[in-house]
Amino acid sequence: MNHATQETSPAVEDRQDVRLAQDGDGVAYARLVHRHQGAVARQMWRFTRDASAHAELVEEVFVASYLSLRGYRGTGPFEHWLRKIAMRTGLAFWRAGRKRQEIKPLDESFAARMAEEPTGYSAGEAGELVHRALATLAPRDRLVLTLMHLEGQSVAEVAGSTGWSATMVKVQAWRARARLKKALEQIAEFGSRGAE
Amino acid sequence: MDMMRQFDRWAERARWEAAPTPDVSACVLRRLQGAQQAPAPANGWFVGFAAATAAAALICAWVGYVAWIELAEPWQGWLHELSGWGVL
Repeated sequence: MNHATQETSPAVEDRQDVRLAQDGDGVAYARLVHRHQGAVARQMWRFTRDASAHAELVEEVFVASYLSLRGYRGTGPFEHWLRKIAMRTGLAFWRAGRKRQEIKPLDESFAARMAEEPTGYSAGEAGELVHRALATLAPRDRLVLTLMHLEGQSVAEVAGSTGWSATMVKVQAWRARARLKKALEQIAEFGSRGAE
Repeated sequence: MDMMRQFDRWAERARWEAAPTPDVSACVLRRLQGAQQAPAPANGWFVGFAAATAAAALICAWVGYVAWIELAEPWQGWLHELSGWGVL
């Protein structure tokens, strides 16, 4: 085995930097932020599509992770631990947004776009459309569908990151899909009536 | 049209979206340094309050114990006999 490669692997670097950051080394924590901010930014983009709110959310994740860094025992990869914190931060953001009633209702233009062929659109446009559809759901429904459909996670992976049982994940996903189906069908019906 | 099937197709396409990657390291460090430098006035107050509560609880426990002993002492013989008869 090549020891030089092993010594510089990201997991080893993470472990060393976490240990230093736990002792209060800010530079080591800055290295961790720099290494993981891309992955966290990708994850948090599922929670908001507003650029300034997105940057704040990414920042919030790293502040929250620093504050609970002493609780990280190093039993799993740092990246997995960070993803769980990011998921909880995003879920809290959705809950706060729902209280402020920041959800835009789906309209006819949404229904027309949804009925079109996705291949003619960019991934960003598709992301915008899917984000709007999922925003009509309650935070837990939205979370399970985001993880499964946008992050491409399996039932076991969703269970691992949320702390729910596999059965719970399946039930939550089934209910969330049923609610989303109802909302999409209502808006499609509304759109077809409008066209007549 | 099956709307959920259509949703799945859009979601599949959205999965490959490139997200913006803001550089937050400087902001995070600034916030953490600010949090560390800020005084924690609540901490001193909490320690004092907790210590006073614990002391009051100890005094109450001691007074209660002494009162119980004082009260039970005259009945000690009765209690002993009753337990001897198998009533208690």
